[in-house]
Amino acid sequence: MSSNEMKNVDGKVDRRTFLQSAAVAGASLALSGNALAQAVAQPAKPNLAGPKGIDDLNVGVIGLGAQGQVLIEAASGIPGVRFKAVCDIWEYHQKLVGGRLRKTGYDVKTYEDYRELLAQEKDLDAVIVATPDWMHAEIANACMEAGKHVYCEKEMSNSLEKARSMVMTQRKTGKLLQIGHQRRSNPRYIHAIDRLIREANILGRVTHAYGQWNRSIADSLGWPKKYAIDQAKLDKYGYVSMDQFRNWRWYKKYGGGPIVDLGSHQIDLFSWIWGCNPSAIVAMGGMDYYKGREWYDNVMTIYEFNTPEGTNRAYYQVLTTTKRGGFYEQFMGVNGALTISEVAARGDTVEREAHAPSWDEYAKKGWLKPVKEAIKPTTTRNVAVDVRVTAEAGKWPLPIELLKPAHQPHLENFFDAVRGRAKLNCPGEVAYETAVAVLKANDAVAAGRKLEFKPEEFKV
Amino acid sequence: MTPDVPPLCRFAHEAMTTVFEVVVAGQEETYARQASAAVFREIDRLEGLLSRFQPVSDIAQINRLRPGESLRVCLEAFECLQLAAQVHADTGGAFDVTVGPLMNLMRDAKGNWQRVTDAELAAARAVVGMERLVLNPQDFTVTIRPATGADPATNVEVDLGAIGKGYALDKAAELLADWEIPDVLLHSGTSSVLALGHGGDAAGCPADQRGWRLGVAGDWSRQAGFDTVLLSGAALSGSGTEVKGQHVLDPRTGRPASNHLAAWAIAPSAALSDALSTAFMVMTTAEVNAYCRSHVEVAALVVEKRRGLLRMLGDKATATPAFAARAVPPGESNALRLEQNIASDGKTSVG
Repeated sequence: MSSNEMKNVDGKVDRRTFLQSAAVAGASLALSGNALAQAVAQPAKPNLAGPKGIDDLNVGVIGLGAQGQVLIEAASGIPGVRFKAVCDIWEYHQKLVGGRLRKTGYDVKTYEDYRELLAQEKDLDAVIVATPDWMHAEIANACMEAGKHVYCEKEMSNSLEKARSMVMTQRKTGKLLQIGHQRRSNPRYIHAIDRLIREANILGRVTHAYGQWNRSIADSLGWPKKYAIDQAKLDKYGYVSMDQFRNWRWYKKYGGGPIVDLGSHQIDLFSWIWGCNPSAIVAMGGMDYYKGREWYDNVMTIYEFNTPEGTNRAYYQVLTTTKRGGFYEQFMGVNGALTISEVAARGDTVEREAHAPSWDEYAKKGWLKPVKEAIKPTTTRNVAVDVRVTAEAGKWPLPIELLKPAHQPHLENFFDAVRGRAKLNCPGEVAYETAVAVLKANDAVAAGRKLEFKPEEFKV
Repeated sequence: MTPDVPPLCRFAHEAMTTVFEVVVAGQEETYARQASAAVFREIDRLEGLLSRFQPVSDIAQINRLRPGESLRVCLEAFECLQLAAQVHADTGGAFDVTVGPLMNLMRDAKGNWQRVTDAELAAARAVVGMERLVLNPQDFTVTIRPATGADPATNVEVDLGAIGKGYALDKAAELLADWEIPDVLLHSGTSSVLALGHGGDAAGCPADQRGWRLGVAGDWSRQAGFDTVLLSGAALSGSGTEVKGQHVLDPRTGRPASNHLAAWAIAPSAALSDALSTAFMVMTTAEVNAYCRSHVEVAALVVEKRRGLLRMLGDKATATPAFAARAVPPGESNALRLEQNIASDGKTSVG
C-alpha cells in the first residue's frame, strides 16, 4: 500500500475500496436501467476502439497540459474521433489524461517522446499538438512529414522563422494544418463578423476596435513533489528547470508571454474585421509586478490598419494583475458598436447609434434579436433611482447561441476537412499573418517606438 | 516544527455558487498554496462539466435532449449520474436529481410552498424520475426515455446540486493524493466536509485523537449532549430546514418533506454523503436506520421534528470508536467549528 493511500482509522472501510465497489455497483445498476430502455430508439454506438468505420478518425494528442485537456474534452463530443495515442514528457499528465481516456473506453497508448509516438502509431489520421509554443513547429512538421494532418494550438511559434517552416512543410506535404484560433469557427463570431459587420455593414465604417483579457494575480504553477521531472530528462527535452517547465508561458525560450497567449485570439479578429493586416504598431508594457519571470506582465498596444475606407485603429490590453472587465472584444463603427466575448455572458450585443438607419429588417430576418424595452426608471423606498431593468436601451442581442464547448466547432471544422468535407477556417497561412502581427507587439514594447509592418512580412 | 511549516494553511475559492475551502496541515505554505490552486482549477473544470447553469456543460446538454436522443458524456458527469442512480435505488427514490419540475410546481418564486391540484401534481410527477435517464456504461452515453404523462416529449431537468459539490471534493482528494498531502480538510461552503488524515493540535486533535474535530448541529446537538465529531477518511454533509418552512421535497410523494428538521450523513465519499444528507431529510427515522444498517460505511444524524432531539443512526455511528466519526464530550474547546445554523439556511460554516 502506497504511503499516500488514505484509509479509515480502523482500516476497515477505506475510501478507495469503497469508491471502487460503488463504481461496480453503479455499473450493474445502469445495466438494469438499460433494459428499461427497450422502447427508446437506440443511438448509433460510438466506435471508440474497434475496427475503424468509414467516418472514424484515429487521433493522437501531443501535449497534455491544461490546453491539451480542454481540446480532448471538446473533441470527445465529436462523433468518429477515436483517441489512440497521447504524449507528454511529464509522466503525471500521461497518467492523468491516459487514465481518463481509458476509463471512458478509448484504446489509447501513452508516450513520453513524440518521435516514439510517430514511429509506433502508423494508423493515425490526425494529431492535435498542444505543447509549449517553442515545440509546435518541430512537432507539427514531423507529424506532417509522417503523413498526419495537424491541428496545432496557437501561437504557431514564438519564432517567425519556425512558424514559416510550418507553412512550408504544409505546402510540401499537402497535409492539413489548422491553427487553434477557435473563434474563427465559432458560429457566434462568424455571424457577428461575416454577416452583421462585413455583409450587412450594420456598424457602418468600423473606425475602432478594442479587445482585452484581464486576469487576477496568480501564483506560479506548482507540481506534486513525487512527479518532479529529473534534471536529466528536463535537459533532454530542453527545459531549464521544473519551474520553467510548469510556467513556460512566462519565459522567452518557450513562449511569447501574455500578449501572445491571450492577445493572439483577439488580435486575430482585427484583421478578420477589416480584411487586411496592420500597417503599424505602438506598444508599452513591462515586467512590473511579478518577480523572477521574463515576459511582460502587462502590455497595452495600438495597431493601425490602412483600409480602403481610411485608417482604423485597434487598441488591445492584457493585464495579469486585475481581472477587471475579463475578456471581450468590441468593434466600434459610426452606426453602432458590437460587443462580443467567447463567453456570451461577457459580451453578446450590438448597440445602435441614434442616427443609424433602422435595424428592424435585421430583426425580421433573425440576424438580431428585437431590442428589449427601454429603461423605465422607478423609485423605491430608500433608493433614489432603481436601476433594475430588463435590458439597457438600444442594445440588440445577438441571435446565436453556441451550445457546445468553445473549441468544439474549430475541431469539427478540422475533422470535417480531414474527411474532405470542409475547408479549414484557420489554415497555417492565415495564422502566420496573425503571428506576425502579435509577435511584433513584444518587439514594439522592447523598441519603445512605433514599428511599421511591410506587406511582404505577412507572406511565406 | 520549522517556521516554514505552519500548523494549518487555509485557502478559499468561489465556485459552484458557494465558497470552497482547503485546510492543509503539516505542509510548507507555498506547496500547500500551489496544491490548493490545483484543487481550485480542478473544481472550476468540474463546474464547467457538471453545472446545469453553464450552457455548454454535459448536464445542460442532457437537459436539452429530446426523449429518444442520446449524448456521450464525460467521465465526471457519468460518475455523478451513476452515483445518483445508485442512491436513488438504495433510498427507494428519496433522492432524485430529476426532481426540478416538481420543485418548480410546488414552490412559488420566493421558494414558499404553494397549493397545487392533484392533476397538476400528477402531470409534474410524470416528467420527473431517475428512470427517465438510461445510463450506458459501455459507451458513456445517456439516453432520455419519454415521459409517462400526457406529453411524452417533455425534456428531463437534471440538477446535480445535491451531489456535484461533494463529488468535486472527492476529485480534489484524488488530486491531493498525487500531491502527497495526506492531512487535509476540504469543504464546499461547509454543506459537505471531507476530512483526510489528521488535523493535529491546531485543529483540536492531539495525537491520540486521529482526525479532524468538527462541530456540528449547533443548538440541537448541545441539547443532545453532542456537538463535535471526529472525522478522518470520511465525509460529512448536512441538510436543514429554513426558518420560513421546509425547502425539501420528497420525490416519492411530490410533497414537502416533514420528517426531519435537519439531517447529516457520514460516508466514505463526499458525493455519497452529499446525496444522502438530502435523502435523509425526507426519509423516516426508521428508513434512515434501515439504510445505515445495510450500509455499514454510512452513519446518520437526524433532528427529529417530533422530539426535537438529535439521534445518531447506524451501528457504527454511536458505539464503535474505530469508525471515522464519533462523538466526543461537549464543551471541549479548540475544535474546528462547523457552525451549522439550521435555523437559517441549513449551511454550515467553519469558524
